[in-house]
Amino acid sequence: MTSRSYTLGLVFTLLGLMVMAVGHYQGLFVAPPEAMMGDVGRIFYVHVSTAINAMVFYLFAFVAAVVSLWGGRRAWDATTTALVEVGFVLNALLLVQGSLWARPTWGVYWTWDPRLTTSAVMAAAYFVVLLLRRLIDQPARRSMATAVATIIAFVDVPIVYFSVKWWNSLHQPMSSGKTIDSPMLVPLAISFAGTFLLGVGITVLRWRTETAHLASEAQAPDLPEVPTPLDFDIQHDRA
Amino acid sequence: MIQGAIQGGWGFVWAVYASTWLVLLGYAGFLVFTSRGLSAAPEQSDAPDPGGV
Repeated sequence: MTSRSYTLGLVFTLLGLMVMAVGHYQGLFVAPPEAMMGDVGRIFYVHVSTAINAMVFYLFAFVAAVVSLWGGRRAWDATTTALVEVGFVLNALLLVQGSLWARPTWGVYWTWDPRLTTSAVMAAAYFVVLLLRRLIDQPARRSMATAVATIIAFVDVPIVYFSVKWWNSLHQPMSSGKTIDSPMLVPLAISFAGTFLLGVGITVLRWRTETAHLASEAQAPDLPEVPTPLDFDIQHDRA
Repeated sequence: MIQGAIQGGWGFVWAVYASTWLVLLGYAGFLVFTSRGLSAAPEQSDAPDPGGV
Protein backbone atom coordinates (compact mmCIF):
# COMPACT_ATOMS: atom_id res chain seq x y z
CA MET A 1 0.00 0.00 0.00
CA THR A 2 1.68 3.19 -1.14
CA SER A 3 0.82 6.85 -1.27
CA ARG A 4 -0.08 6.26 -4.91
CA SER A 5 -3.30 4.65 -3.76
CA TYR A 6 -4.04 7.71 -1.64
CA THR A 7 -3.46 9.99 -4.62
CA LEU A 8 -5.65 7.77 -6.79
CA GLY A 9 -8.43 7.78 -4.22
CA LEU A 10 -8.21 11.51 -3.75
CA VAL A 11 -8.22 12.24 -7.47
CA PHE A 12 -11.25 10.05 -8.11
CA THR A 13 -13.05 11.56 -5.13
CA LEU A 14 -12.47 15.13 -6.23
CA LEU A 15 -13.25 14.34 -9.84
CA GLY A 16 -16.42 12.58 -8.81
CA LEU A 17 -17.55 15.50 -6.70
CA MET A 18 -16.96 17.93 -9.56
CA VAL A 19 -18.76 15.81 -12.16
CA MET A 20 -21.59 15.15 -9.73
CA ALA A 21 -21.89 18.88 -9.10
CA VAL A 22 -22.22 19.51 -12.83
CA GLY A 23 -24.85 16.81 -13.19
CA HIS A 24 -26.82 18.05 -10.22
CA TYR A 25 -26.63 21.65 -11.40
CA GLN A 26 -28.01 20.60 -14.75
CA GLY A 27 -30.71 18.56 -13.10
CA LEU A 28 -31.74 21.40 -10.83
CA PHE A 29 -31.53 24.39 -13.15
CA VAL A 30 -31.12 23.34 -16.77
CA ALA A 31 -33.29 20.29 -17.33
CA PRO A 32 -36.99 20.91 -17.96
CA PRO A 33 -39.54 20.08 -15.25
CA GLU A 34 -40.93 16.57 -15.46
CA ALA A 35 -44.20 16.25 -17.35
CA MET A 36 -46.32 14.96 -14.46
CA MET A 37 -44.37 15.76 -11.31
CA GLY A 38 -43.08 19.18 -12.28
CA ASP A 39 -40.06 20.41 -10.34
CA VAL A 40 -40.34 17.58 -7.79
CA GLY A 41 -39.23 15.34 -10.64
CA ARG A 42 -35.75 16.86 -10.38
CA ILE A 43 -35.08 14.43 -7.56
CA PHE A 44 -34.88 11.88 -10.39
CA TYR A 45 -31.30 12.86 -11.25
CA VAL A 46 -29.85 12.23 -7.82
CA HIS A 47 -32.08 9.33 -6.80
CA VAL A 48 -31.71 7.19 -9.90
CA SER A 49 -27.94 7.68 -10.11
CA THR A 50 -27.59 6.80 -6.41
CA ALA A 51 -29.74 3.71 -6.82
CA ILE A 52 -27.94 2.37 -9.87
CA ASN A 53 -24.54 3.03 -8.35
CA ALA A 54 -25.51 1.24 -5.14
CA MET A 55 -26.33 -1.87 -7.15
CA VAL A 56 -23.18 -1.51 -9.25
CA PHE A 57 -20.98 -1.37 -6.16
CA TYR A 58 -22.82 -4.33 -4.69
CA LEU A 59 -22.06 -6.20 -7.90
CA PHE A 60 -18.37 -5.32 -7.57
CA ALA A 61 -18.51 -6.46 -3.94
CA PHE A 62 -20.01 -9.77 -5.05
CA VAL A 63 -17.13 -10.34 -7.47
CA ALA A 64 -14.57 -9.34 -4.83
CA ALA A 65 -16.21 -11.68 -2.32
CA VAL A 66 -16.01 -14.60 -4.71
CA VAL A 67 -12.32 -13.90 -5.33
CA SER A 68 -11.72 -13.44 -1.61
CA LEU A 69 -13.37 -16.76 -0.84
CA TRP A 70 -11.43 -18.46 -3.60
CA GLY A 71 -7.98 -17.08 -2.87
CA GLY A 72 -8.08 -16.07 0.80
CA ARG A 73 -5.92 -13.00 0.23
CA ARG A 74 -6.15 -10.14 2.66
CA ALA A 75 -6.29 -7.55 -0.12
CA TRP A 76 -9.53 -9.01 -1.46
CA ASP A 77 -11.03 -9.11 2.00
CA ALA A 78 -10.31 -5.41 2.34
CA THR A 79 -11.68 -4.76 -1.15
CA THR A 80 -14.90 -6.61 -0.38
CA THR A 81 -15.36 -4.64 2.82
CA ALA A 82 -14.74 -1.31 1.13
CA LEU A 83 -17.17 -2.04 -1.69
CA VAL A 84 -19.88 -3.30 0.68
CA GLU A 85 -19.55 -0.21 2.82
CA VAL A 86 -19.76 2.19 -0.11
CA GLY A 87 -22.71 0.29 -1.54
CA PHE A 88 -24.44 0.39 1.81
CA VAL A 89 -23.98 4.15 2.18
CA LEU A 90 -25.50 4.63 -1.28
CA ASN A 91 -28.27 2.16 -0.44
CA ALA A 92 -29.16 4.00 2.77
CA LEU A 93 -29.05 7.29 0.89
CA LEU A 94 -31.42 6.07 -1.80
CA LEU A 95 -33.95 5.01 0.84
CA VAL A 96 -33.88 8.51 2.34
CA GLN A 97 -34.06 10.17 -1.08
CA GLY A 98 -36.91 7.94 -2.15
CA SER A 99 -38.78 8.60 1.05
CA LEU A 100 -38.51 12.36 0.57
CA TRP A 101 -39.61 11.99 -3.03
CA ALA A 102 -42.56 9.80 -2.06
CA ARG A 103 -44.07 12.37 0.27
CA PRO A 104 -45.04 14.99 -2.33
CA THR A 105 -45.83 12.43 -5.04
CA TRP A 106 -47.58 9.60 -3.21
CA GLY A 107 -48.60 11.46 -0.08
CA VAL A 108 -46.65 9.15 2.24
CA TYR A 109 -43.00 8.81 3.23
CA TRP A 110 -43.13 5.02 3.04
CA THR A 111 -45.25 2.23 1.67
CA TRP A 112 -44.65 -1.51 1.50
CA ASP A 113 -44.30 -1.41 -2.23
CA PRO A 114 -42.16 -4.20 -3.81
CA ARG A 115 -39.37 -1.88 -4.92
CA LEU A 116 -39.19 -0.06 -1.60
CA THR A 117 -39.47 -3.22 0.46
CA THR A 118 -36.80 -5.13 -1.45
CA SER A 119 -34.51 -2.08 -1.30
CA ALA A 120 -34.92 -1.96 2.46
CA VAL A 121 -34.20 -5.70 2.66
CA MET A 122 -31.10 -5.13 0.56
CA ALA A 123 -29.86 -2.46 2.96
CA ALA A 124 -30.54 -4.73 5.94
CA ALA A 125 -28.70 -7.63 4.32
CA TYR A 126 -25.57 -5.60 3.70
CA PHE A 127 -25.81 -4.06 7.15
CA VAL A 128 -25.56 -7.61 8.46
CA VAL A 129 -22.36 -8.08 6.44
CA LEU A 130 -20.84 -5.03 8.10
CA LEU A 131 -22.09 -6.14 11.50
CA LEU A 132 -20.49 -9.56 11.09
CA ARG A 133 -17.18 -7.87 10.47
CA ARG A 134 -17.48 -6.08 13.78
CA LEU A 135 -18.46 -9.19 15.70
CA ILE A 136 -15.81 -11.62 14.48
CA ASP A 137 -12.23 -11.14 15.64
CA GLN A 138 -10.48 -14.07 14.01
CA PRO A 139 -9.20 -12.79 10.65
CA ALA A 140 -9.71 -15.98 8.66
CA ARG A 141 -13.20 -16.61 9.99
CA ARG A 142 -14.12 -12.95 9.58
CA SER A 143 -12.90 -12.94 6.00
CA MET A 144 -14.90 -16.03 5.15
CA ALA A 145 -18.03 -14.76 6.89
CA THR A 146 -17.78 -11.44 5.10
CA ALA A 147 -17.38 -13.09 1.72
CA VAL A 148 -20.20 -15.60 2.23
CA ALA A 149 -22.59 -12.99 3.63
CA THR A 150 -21.80 -10.63 0.76
CA ILE A 151 -22.55 -13.34 -1.79
CA ILE A 152 -25.82 -14.22 -0.08
CA ALA A 153 -26.85 -10.57 0.24
CA PHE A 154 -26.32 -10.08 -3.49
CA VAL A 155 -29.28 -12.37 -4.18
CA ASP A 156 -31.57 -9.42 -3.41
CA VAL A 157 -29.95 -7.04 -5.89
CA PRO A 158 -31.53 -8.44 -9.07
CA ILE A 159 -34.79 -8.81 -7.14
CA VAL A 160 -34.72 -5.08 -6.42
CA TYR A 161 -33.90 -4.30 -10.02
CA PHE A 162 -36.69 -6.43 -11.50
CA SER A 163 -39.25 -5.83 -8.75
CA VAL A 164 -41.12 -3.18 -10.73
CA LYS A 165 -41.35 -5.59 -13.64
CA TRP A 166 -42.33 -8.72 -11.70
CA TRP A 167 -44.91 -7.21 -9.35
CA ASN A 168 -47.54 -4.48 -9.39
CA SER A 169 -45.63 -1.57 -8.05
CA LEU A 170 -46.41 2.00 -7.16
CA HIS A 171 -42.83 2.78 -8.05
CA GLN A 172 -42.07 4.07 -11.51
CA PRO A 173 -41.15 1.33 -14.04
CA MET A 174 -37.57 0.96 -15.20
CA SER A 175 -36.34 3.83 -17.34
CA SER A 176 -34.05 3.50 -20.32
CA GLY A 177 -32.47 5.67 -22.96
CA LYS A 178 -35.54 5.10 -25.10
CA THR A 179 -38.03 6.28 -22.48
CA ILE A 180 -36.19 9.39 -21.30
CA ASP A 181 -35.97 12.55 -23.36
CA SER A 182 -32.41 13.70 -24.07
CA PRO A 183 -32.67 16.98 -22.07
CA MET A 184 -33.21 14.73 -19.06
CA LEU A 185 -30.90 11.92 -20.11
CA VAL A 186 -27.79 14.09 -20.21
CA PRO A 187 -28.00 15.37 -16.60
CA LEU A 188 -28.82 11.83 -15.48
CA ALA A 189 -25.79 10.40 -17.26
CA ILE A 190 -23.50 13.07 -15.81
CA SER A 191 -24.90 12.56 -12.30
CA PHE A 192 -24.45 8.82 -12.63
CA ALA A 193 -20.86 9.24 -13.83
CA GLY A 194 -20.06 11.65 -11.02
CA THR A 195 -21.51 9.38 -8.35
CA PHE A 196 -19.65 6.41 -9.82
CA LEU A 197 -16.31 8.22 -9.85
CA LEU A 198 -16.90 9.40 -6.29
CA GLY A 199 -17.76 5.86 -5.28
CA VAL A 200 -14.53 4.57 -6.81
CA GLY A 201 -12.50 7.21 -4.98
CA ILE A 202 -14.16 6.47 -1.65
CA THR A 203 -13.68 2.74 -2.19
CA VAL A 204 -9.95 3.19 -2.76
CA LEU A 205 -9.61 5.31 0.38
CA ARG A 206 -11.66 2.88 2.43
CA TRP A 207 -9.57 0.01 1.06
CA ARG A 208 -6.49 1.83 2.37
CA THR A 209 -7.87 2.13 5.88
CA GLU A 210 -9.06 -1.46 5.93
CA THR A 211 -5.77 -2.79 4.57
CA ALA A 212 -3.84 -0.84 7.19
CA HIS A 213 -6.12 -2.17 9.90
CA LEU A 214 -5.69 -5.77 8.76
CA ALA A 215 -1.92 -5.37 8.48
CA SER A 216 -1.57 -3.88 11.96
CA GLU A 217 -3.81 -6.60 13.31
CA ALA A 218 -1.50 -9.24 11.84
CA GLN A 219 1.51 -7.55 13.39
CA ALA A 220 -0.05 -7.07 16.81
CA PRO A 221 1.66 -8.88 19.68
CA ASP A 222 -0.01 -11.99 21.00
CA LEU A 223 -2.76 -10.97 23.32
CA PRO A 224 -4.97 -13.25 25.38
CA GLU A 225 -7.88 -14.10 23.20
CA VAL A 226 -11.21 -12.92 24.44
CA PRO A 227 -14.12 -14.85 23.00
CA THR A 228 -16.56 -12.85 20.97
CA PRO A 229 -20.12 -14.05 20.38
CA LEU A 230 -19.15 -15.92 17.22
CA ASP A 231 -15.75 -17.29 18.30
CA PHE A 232 -17.37 -20.08 20.20
CA ASP A 233 -14.67 -22.72 19.86
CA ILE A 234 -11.73 -20.83 21.39
CA GLN A 235 -10.19 -22.80 24.22
CA HIS A 236 -9.20 -20.75 27.25
CA ASP A 237 -6.04 -21.54 29.13
CA ARG A 238 -7.28 -22.47 32.54
CA ALA A 239 -3.87 -22.48 34.22
CA MET B 1 -42.80 31.57 1.07
CA ILE B 2 -41.16 28.50 2.57
CA GLN B 3 -44.46 26.73 2.91
CA GLY B 4 -45.26 27.56 -0.67
CA ALA B 5 -41.92 26.14 -1.73
CA ILE B 6 -42.58 22.91 0.15
CA GLN B 7 -46.06 22.61 -1.27
CA GLY B 8 -44.63 23.25 -4.70
CA GLY B 9 -42.10 20.50 -4.08
CA TRP B 10 -38.90 22.55 -4.09
CA GLY B 11 -38.49 22.01 -0.36
CA PHE B 12 -38.31 18.27 -0.89
CA VAL B 13 -35.96 18.73 -3.85
CA TRP B 14 -33.54 20.81 -1.79
CA ALA B 15 -33.83 18.37 1.11
CA VAL B 16 -32.86 15.46 -1.12
CA TYR B 17 -29.92 17.19 -2.75
CA ALA B 18 -28.68 18.71 0.50
CA SER B 19 -28.84 15.44 2.42
CA THR B 20 -27.06 13.62 -0.41
CA TRP B 21 -24.22 16.10 -0.50
CA LEU B 22 -23.98 16.20 3.26
CA VAL B 23 -23.62 12.45 3.56
CA LEU B 24 -21.27 11.96 0.61
CA LEU B 25 -19.07 14.95 1.43
CA GLY B 26 -18.91 13.93 5.06
CA TYR B 27 -18.03 10.34 4.28
CA ALA B 28 -15.48 11.29 1.63
CA GLY B 29 -13.96 13.95 3.82
CA PHE B 30 -13.66 11.55 6.74
CA LEU B 31 -11.89 8.98 4.58
CA VAL B 32 -9.59 11.53 2.95
CA PHE B 33 -8.55 12.62 6.42
CA THR B 34 -8.18 9.20 8.03
CA SER B 35 -6.46 7.43 5.15
CA ARG B 36 -3.88 10.13 4.62
CA GLY B 37 -1.11 9.26 7.05
CA LEU B 38 -1.29 5.51 6.83
CA SER B 39 2.10 3.88 6.73
CA ALA B 40 3.21 2.23 3.51
CA ALA B 41 3.67 -1.17 5.13
CA PRO B 42 5.63 -3.83 3.27
CA GLU B 43 3.37 -5.25 0.63
CA GLN B 44 1.38 -7.72 2.68
CA SER B 45 -1.79 -7.60 0.66
CA ASP B 46 -0.93 -10.84 -1.08
CA ALA B 47 -0.03 -12.65 2.09
CA PRO B 48 -2.50 -15.35 3.03
CA ASP B 49 -4.17 -15.06 6.37
CA PRO B 50 -2.02 -16.63 9.08
CA GLY B 51 -4.80 -18.66 10.57
CA GLY B 52 -6.11 -20.62 7.59
CA VAL B 53 -9.70 -21.79 7.66
